[in-house]
Amino acid sequence: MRSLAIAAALATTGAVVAAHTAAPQTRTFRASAVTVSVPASVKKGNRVVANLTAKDFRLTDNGVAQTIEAVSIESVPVDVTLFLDTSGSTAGKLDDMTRDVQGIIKMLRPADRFRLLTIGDSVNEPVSWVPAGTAVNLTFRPVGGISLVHDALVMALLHRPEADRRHLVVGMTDREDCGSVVPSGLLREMASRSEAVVHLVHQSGGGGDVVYRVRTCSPRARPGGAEIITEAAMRTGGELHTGSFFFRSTSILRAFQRIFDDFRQSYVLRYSPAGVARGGWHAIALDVPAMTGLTIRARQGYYD
Amino acid sequence: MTGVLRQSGAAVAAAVLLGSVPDGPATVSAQLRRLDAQALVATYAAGRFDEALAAVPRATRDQVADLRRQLAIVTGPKGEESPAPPPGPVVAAAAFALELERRLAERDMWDARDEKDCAARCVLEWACALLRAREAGDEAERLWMLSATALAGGVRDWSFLHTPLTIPTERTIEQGHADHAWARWPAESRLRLARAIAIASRYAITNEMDTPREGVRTGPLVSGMLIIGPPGTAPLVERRRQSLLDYAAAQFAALIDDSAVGPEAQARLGYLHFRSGQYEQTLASARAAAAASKDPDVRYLAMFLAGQAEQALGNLASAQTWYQRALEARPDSQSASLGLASLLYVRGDANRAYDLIDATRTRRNDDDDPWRMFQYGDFARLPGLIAELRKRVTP
Repeated sequence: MRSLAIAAALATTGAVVAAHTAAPQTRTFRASAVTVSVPASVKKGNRVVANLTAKDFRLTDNGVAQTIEAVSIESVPVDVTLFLDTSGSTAGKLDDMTRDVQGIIKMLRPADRFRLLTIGDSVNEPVSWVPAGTAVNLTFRPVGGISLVHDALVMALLHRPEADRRHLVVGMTDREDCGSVVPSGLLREMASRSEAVVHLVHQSGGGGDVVYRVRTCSPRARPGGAEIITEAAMRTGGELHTGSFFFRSTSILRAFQRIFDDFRQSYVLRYSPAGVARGGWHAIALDVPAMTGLTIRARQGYYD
Repeated sequence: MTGVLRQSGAAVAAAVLLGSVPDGPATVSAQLRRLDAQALVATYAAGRFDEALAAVPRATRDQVADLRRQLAIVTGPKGEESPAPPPGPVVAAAAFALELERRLAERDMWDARDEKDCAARCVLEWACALLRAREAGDEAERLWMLSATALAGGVRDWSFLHTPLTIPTERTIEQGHADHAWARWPAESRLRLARAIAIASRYAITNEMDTPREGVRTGPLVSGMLIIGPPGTAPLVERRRQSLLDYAAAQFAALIDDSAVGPEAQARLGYLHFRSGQYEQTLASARAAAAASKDPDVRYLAMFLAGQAEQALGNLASAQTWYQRALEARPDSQSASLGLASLLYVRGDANRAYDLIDATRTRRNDDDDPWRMFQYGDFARLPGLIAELRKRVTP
């Protein structure tokens, strides 16, 4: 299930962040054996739509209809990266976070793995990859000043894909970045190439900002930056969860459970791109023509 | 940096778990339980440093205010206030005051602008005056001056270090902790550097850069300085902006030949150029700093900055080379690993990107990356300075 391994493998050296740039002069139309995998969640209301087959879906790659070769709901083990934004603005919720992390590790299936990333003066990994059910001892410490949301998400995304495992990244954050090395636009490009699926849960407030290390950004965060982070998640097939009915509780455990359950019930579609020019960004569009009122969340494309 | 910080953070966390609320409404018993300055300084002077400071993370605001006043202020019979005498040996009292304020700063209690009570600045100025009142400065005093400077950098209270932060006129009196410390220790070039950092503080921002693109010059997405003026004043405003920048740059330039802080001053000058979009000049300064320094942290900073400048210039292969060199100076550091890995990843070398991130997360987890601390002056040196200062309290 090397889903979208293509994204990294085919990225053109030297064409950095080549998204949306001019098309190459000589177009090579693909007839390759490369397989693109597209994770997709299909729901009607809050209910997962099950038992769909390849014939039910319609998929286009840069507007060109493709033949879907396989559709599966995979029960492969999941690597879960949980990113908790422990910067000053979330300082009031650190005790809840400790409890919830322990609950999340217990929730995973035996073959799943878990790790935790947090923000301090750098991006920290207080829990490295551990099997499901592992007991962890956590103490969070709020840190003012920098808020490395982009860098944490990049650290999460740059996890070497493994055959027969999927990678789910869940970020609990207010998406207010300050001081990251990686700009938001670059994060978005990286997300487009990643096999991971990124979900974000809006999490903020609770304690006000800790100003010990006063923020070094002015304004506090780049206007529009939060939306670009959200776009990055959507490009992976994930989304931003905020203020909806199932997040009435402040519990990140509850939010995680919903995301994890959906992820495990999502489809993975595979196709070999045909009739599309190589290079650059390939926009993927997916629908289920015979059904109405569906919410389909899928990877939005890939870089070739 | 964060050895003591982490201890303190853990203490706060433990306090919360046990159900006490450090900043919550003070109970009657807590209000009555006075933290006695004389006793605490005596404990500190006896070398029981952590014991002397143990109550600070849990002290109520009232207790803190009372302790600060005990240390620094004497109230006369008519309500007039004057500096308090030291409640014990001078060096111990000053060092205790400094460590007290450091822990309070971690609790967000620096309160630089609290006019009503004697707050952090007041306590540090009191301690500083005690030390300077002695005839000759000693090593303890030098360490204390440097520690207080580093702490002020940590809370970015630049005007505590030096005022005015703009260009002085003939009638301006320049003052601040860095100035009077420098007057006592004219050979201590770190104090001069601290003063320069304070003057350049308006440029000490880390605003996000635009997405790097090969062959395309990019810049910050948001200007760090918002200059508003009436119509027609733009040229005047621009001249003012440029003169402020030149003044800040001159402070670092004056230190470039200093054997102790020259390379760092050069690197900081490079950052000023970077913030003003002068990436070619950034590269020149960064190269010079990297070549001149033997300190791995300064070399790392300079080479990372060169990588950022090349990235902004659209020379992405050169940026990768500089990040790589930075990682040779300080292996597996997070900021350069992220800079290099992100470029490699979008340029198609995912495997190297994975390796870099794996290395930094496993070998440098919880590290004090020099780039992350760059905007906080000398703050990264504070734990080491305090450790040395403690040795002078109990010779």
